Amino acid sequence: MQQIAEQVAADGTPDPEPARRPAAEQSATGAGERLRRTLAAAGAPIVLIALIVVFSLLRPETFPTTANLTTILSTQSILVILALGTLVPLIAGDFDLSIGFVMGFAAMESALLTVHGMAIPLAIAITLATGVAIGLFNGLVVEKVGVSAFIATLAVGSILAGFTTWISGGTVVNGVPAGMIDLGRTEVIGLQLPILYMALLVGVFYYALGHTPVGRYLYAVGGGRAAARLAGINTGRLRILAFVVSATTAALAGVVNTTVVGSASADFGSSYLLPAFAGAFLGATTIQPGRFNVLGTVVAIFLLAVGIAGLQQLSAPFWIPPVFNGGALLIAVGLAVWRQPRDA
Amino acid sequence: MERTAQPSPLLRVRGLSKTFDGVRVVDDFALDVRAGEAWGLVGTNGCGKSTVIKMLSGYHRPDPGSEVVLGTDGTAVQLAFVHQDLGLVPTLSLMENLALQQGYSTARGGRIRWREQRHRAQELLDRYGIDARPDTLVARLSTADEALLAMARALSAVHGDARVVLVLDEPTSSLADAEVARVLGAIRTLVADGSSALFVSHRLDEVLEVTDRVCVMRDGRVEATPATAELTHDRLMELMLGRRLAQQTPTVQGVATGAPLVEVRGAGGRRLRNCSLAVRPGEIVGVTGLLGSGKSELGRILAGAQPLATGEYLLDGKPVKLRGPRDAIDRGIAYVPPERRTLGSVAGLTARENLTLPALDGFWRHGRVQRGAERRETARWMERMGVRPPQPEKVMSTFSGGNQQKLVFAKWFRLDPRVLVLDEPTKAVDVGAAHDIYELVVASAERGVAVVLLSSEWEDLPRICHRVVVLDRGTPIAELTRAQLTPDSIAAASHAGAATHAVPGGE
Repeated sequence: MQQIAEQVAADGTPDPEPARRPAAEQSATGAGERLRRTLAAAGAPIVLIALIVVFSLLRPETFPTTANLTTILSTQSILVILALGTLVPLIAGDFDLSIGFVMGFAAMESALLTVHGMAIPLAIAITLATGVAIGLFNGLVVEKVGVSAFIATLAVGSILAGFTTWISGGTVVNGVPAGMIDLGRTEVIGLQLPILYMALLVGVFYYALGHTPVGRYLYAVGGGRAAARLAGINTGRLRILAFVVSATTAALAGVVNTTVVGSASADFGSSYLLPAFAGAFLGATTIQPGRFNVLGTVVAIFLLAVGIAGLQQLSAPFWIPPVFNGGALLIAVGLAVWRQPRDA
Repeated sequence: MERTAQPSPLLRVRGLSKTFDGVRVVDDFALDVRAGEAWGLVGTNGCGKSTVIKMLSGYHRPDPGSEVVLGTDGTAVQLAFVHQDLGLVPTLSLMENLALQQGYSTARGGRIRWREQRHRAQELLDRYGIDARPDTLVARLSTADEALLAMARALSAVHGDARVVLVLDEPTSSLADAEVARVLGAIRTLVADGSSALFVSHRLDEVLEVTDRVCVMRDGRVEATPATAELTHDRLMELMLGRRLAQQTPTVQGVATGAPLVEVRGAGGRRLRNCSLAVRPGEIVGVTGLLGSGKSELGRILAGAQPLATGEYLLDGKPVKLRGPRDAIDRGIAYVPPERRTLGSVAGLTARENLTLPALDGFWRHGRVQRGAERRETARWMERMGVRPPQPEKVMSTFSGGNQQKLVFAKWFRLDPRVLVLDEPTKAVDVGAAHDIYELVVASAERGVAVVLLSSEWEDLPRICHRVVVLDRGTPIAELTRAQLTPDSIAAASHAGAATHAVPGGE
């Protein structure tokens, strides 16, 4: 048995994929391959640093300033929180397209409740509970009824967009009480509270997805649901959990938005949907390439934000940001899959 | 070297080499295929035979200096290919699948002449003995018919009266033994008609049965090209492995006694009807049958992956109700499913993540999953199972088939199971790895594990099993004891059921 084992191991490679042989098995090219992988993993952080250096050189008086840093951090904090929510169903192998609309609905709900005099903690708790309920509904429709997640969450999102217009009467809701606004605008050690919320959530998600069994199980469910089930994982419960997490996180992002803006409008949530997904997909090309991951997503969102902030300081026209976002996503994902062996 | 009396080869290959990033995967490959000759191409995983096929088909570009000549004396010769996955689209009809390669015959304005198309398809189906209409969806074909359809399509693309060298890359790897005969028959007919074939297979018995000569590859080079008539199964294996067979195929010894450890009584499911089976500690019970026998369903039921529609499940003589795979795992039942890539492992996760998946809790300490401990445990198991070099962080899908399957076994052996349920554990695994896997199975039984081996490898079952149960349409129709077990007796018992029914084989 030993000899046969050696024989098998010595030629080693998967027969159907000989093109991967050198990368996978040969120690001679192992060092080069490791370097390539390290570079791939570090690609986005390197570009992020490069952008910061370039813009700092071009606009030394406005770009490398504390004010600019905190502006970028605080304007992106809500998007980062939303993207963290998006990430969880994506890891488990499902799209949740309702998140932007959950966010919009939650922003409106929390604004209306507080404007009408409800105690702020209670209003926030009810809004988050709404998020839990929506996520549970999404999860049950997907897992128990068997509607594809893409369709189910698109439908739920559309319904929520309608409800948001309905409860607001189609107008901007102003007059959010000061106590609520304090939660979004107070500064602690020079940073607005939303930045701290974001930092806290990034920590929680990083830990839960990367270092707990539940996180590992989510990756297994996303990688192969049938195989995960046979390994003893309760795949149904995890999928539902993923939708609950995404909707609740989106609701939280909505609440934070209301505290920052001090008002709520009926249609803002949908504009966040695509950037959140772009962040998650771009993030999957870095830090842990090939996997949706928390740090990659954060780096990706700030990469895009820094790029846009810099371009704006260079007086780029107003239509540049979405073009930059889309171009960066295409290039990053394109580079990640380029020249990888693929099937005939 | 060649005698002048022999006809000049249809296909001549000289000095064919392929280098990937400085590594010679194929080195100076040479081959002459003459009209009316069937060649086998064999070797263990990674020997380079797939790369040779991919160079012939144009998927990989050979290194400079390689020479591939079709029709050495000026005759028109074409290569036709049947690849391992057959390249059929299940959601399209037979006719549409044929047209993927032939194209459609169109009238003015690009309108497809459906009637003519259908007629041409029917002719092909008849010629290859595929009992189906042109409008049938490929998804409804049996696997043998799928293989024949892929062959028919490859050959129908040959122009005019060009001679053909048909290259078949593992066309039988997903077929049950009983179905293989039809595909081999088609190859034989083709060769008898003056074409040639190059047949790649892990199944040495088939190679011995259907070919005239065999090209044995090892480490990227041609090891030998003996005439098939001079070969035996063991001799061929020795050539592939490059050494004498160290020992006999693992063989089970003795008789298992004692009360049954795992048992189903009157089990019923989708296809399974009134199926009873009891396995004692230390016993290896083979379960086999033709396609559609329901043996895979029995495996899923034993593994808790499918609920019992009727009947009872007993462990240690006590009735149990398994609500899912987790219940089975917790009771010491391990299940190796038939599909390694989609069921046996999570292809995109690493070896480490796969190995620890069913029992991750053991690595949960100080508020986090201890990856270092996981990695050491994985490396230890890779060492023990002969997966070398041990690379715990390598992605599962990049291992060879045999090594993937060994890792699937390691995942379960780690939990020290009392019951092993194995569904086609050596499918699409090279001979060396299959040998290792059988050895592990026999060793487990010697430690007192109850083994249910669901398999259609009739050649192997007699050596590995204490007894074999034959299923037909979901019901046991025969049980062969150790003394009665031979490949022929299993074949006879399996076909006995089919013979009593109007519809043979198939679904």
